[in-house]
Formats: sequence, structure tokens, C-alpha cells
Amino acid sequence: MKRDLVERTAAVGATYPNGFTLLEVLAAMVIFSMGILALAGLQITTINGNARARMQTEATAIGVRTLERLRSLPFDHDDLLPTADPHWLPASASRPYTVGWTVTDATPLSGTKRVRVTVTPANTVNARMITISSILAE
Amino acid sequence: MKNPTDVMRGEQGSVLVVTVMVLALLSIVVFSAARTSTTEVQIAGNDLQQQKYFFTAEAGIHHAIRLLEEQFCAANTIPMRFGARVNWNFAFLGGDQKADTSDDAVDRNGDEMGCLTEGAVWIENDRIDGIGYRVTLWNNDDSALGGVFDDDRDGLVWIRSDATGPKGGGASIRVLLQGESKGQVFSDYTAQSGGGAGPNTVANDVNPIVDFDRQF
Repeated sequence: MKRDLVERTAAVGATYPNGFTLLEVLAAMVIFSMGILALAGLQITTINGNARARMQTEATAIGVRTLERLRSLPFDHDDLLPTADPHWLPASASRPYTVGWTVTDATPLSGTKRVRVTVTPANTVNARMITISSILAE
Repeated sequence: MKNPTDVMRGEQGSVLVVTVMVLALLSIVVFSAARTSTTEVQIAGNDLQQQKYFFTAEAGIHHAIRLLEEQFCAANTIPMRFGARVNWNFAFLGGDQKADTSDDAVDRNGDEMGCLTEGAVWIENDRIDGIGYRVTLWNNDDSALGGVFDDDRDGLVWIRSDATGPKGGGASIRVLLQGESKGQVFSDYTAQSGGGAGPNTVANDVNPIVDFDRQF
């Protein structure tokens, strides 16, 4: 049947006999576009994953830096005062992450403070907040 | 001259073949990118987890230092009062815990865990954000001064903090802790208000003398 089609197409008047049949090209295009769609979907997932990994890596670095800084401060520094609201550093153009930390006094025992640093990406797509905690002693 | 249909017969379906091959190549590229991305996400997750373990271990060290600080002062009140040599003997928790003589190089009970199981356990199963930490303490090598594993002579002890989480992750920090007396009389009270530091150890008279009549 295919051969008939080919022959007929060729016979109907193609001056150049070696060409592609319309049906063949259509079938190929359907398969190709289905494949491409699937791959494009996977590629989007990949790009999202990369973005999330980058955000998490950067957020981790910022969290570590913040916690190390808090660790180096005097025990009664203003940034280490236990407050009802968390200490807050808003996101900026150079650091598109919101940094916050809560200080709990006398935890786990008097003369110590528990510090919990949270870093949230300003970009809300795929954003995941990270938390790092530690204890400081007087 | 060749019959055109013969030429056509040889190339039937070539578009499909080329399409499939291009798709296969693209698939290889996209799948390898996806794999790289997965690895990237795992690296980021592991990095964060590792930092959490590290800071939990550090929290254990600070927790233990604060815990030991008070007990060290309480246990050494008398040596400190006279400016005598202070020691960590209270911290070895008696003979039940076989504290190591020096390092984790000596494995007394043969469990190949070194000091981890042989030091005196000071903090066990405390948690921060789901990560547990454990702090052990043992004497450093005091053999040059005649000390043994439960007799501290130089005021130095090791403490080690181990943070462990699920899936076998963790971090450990080991710190050499020193407790010393400056050779001065340790006194932070006044026997009587306005009376200055004194050698007596019981401060019953906390109020200043205002009525001098009774002295005459």
C-alpha cells in the first residue's frame, strides 16, 4: 500500500523522484514533536532543579556566615538579645535572601542561648527556607 | 537508467529513521542534564545537612562548657579558695566510665571506637532541630605528671561532641579544655557590706553597720 502511494506520487508528476511523501513527513513530525515535548518537560524540571540547588547552596552559605558572625559576637550583644520577633535582615539587590534569626535565652541551661537562623530566598518560585541552629555559651 | 521507484524503495522511511536518531541524541543530552541536576540538588542538600551537623556539634561543645563550668567551680571551691591546684577529677564520673589515659589511640575495651564510648558521658540524646548530640569527656595524657586516666594533674581534659542524624550523617568536634587557678585567693563576696574581701568563708552579716552604740 505504501509502495502504491509512493509510485502514485512519483507518477503524478514529480520531476524529482527522490523526495519525501507527505504521509511520511507527517508521521515523523508527530513522533518528533511528541518526543520534543517530553524532553522539553524534562528540561524544565532540570532547570527548576538547578535553580533550587543554587538557591539552597547560596542560602546555606549565607546562613553559615550569619551564624558564624553571631557566634563571634559578645554574649550580650544587641543582635543576640532574645526578642519576641526574630531579628531581621531584609533582602537586597546584592543578597536576594531574607535572613532572620531567633534567640532563645537560657536554653538548654542558664548562661546559654539557642540561636536559630533562617534564610529565605526572595524569589518565591521554588524557594525553600533553610534553617541552621546552634547553642552559644556565655 | 535506474527506475525512479527503485531509488525510492531504497530510501523509504528515511525521515522516520533520521527523526528517531535526532530524538535519541537529544534524549542523551537532556537525560545527562537531568542527572547532573539531580546530583546538584543532592550536593546542595548534603551541604546544608553537613553544616547543620557541624553547628549541632559546636552547640554540644558550648553546652558542655557551660555545664562543666559551673560544676568545675563547685567541685574546686576549696582548691580555688586557697589558690591550690585545680583538677577535673569530678568530671570523670567515678570508675564506672573508663576514661581513656590519653588519646583515642588507646582502645581499652577493644570496641575500636576510641574515646567515643570510653569517656565519661556528660550529655546524651540532647537535640537541636532533630539532630542529636552527645558529649563525652576524658583525661588527656598526664603520665608525665604521675596522673592516670581518672586523676587529672594538669587541669586539661578532652571533650568531644558528636552530632548524629539519620542516614549515618554526622560531625564531631574535639576540644582540649583547660581549668586553672591563677594562684590567687578566690573570693567574690564581702563579709559585711563595705568590709571588702575577707578570708572568712561565711558571710552572715550582709547589712552595713549603722548602729555603733553596741560597740561601746
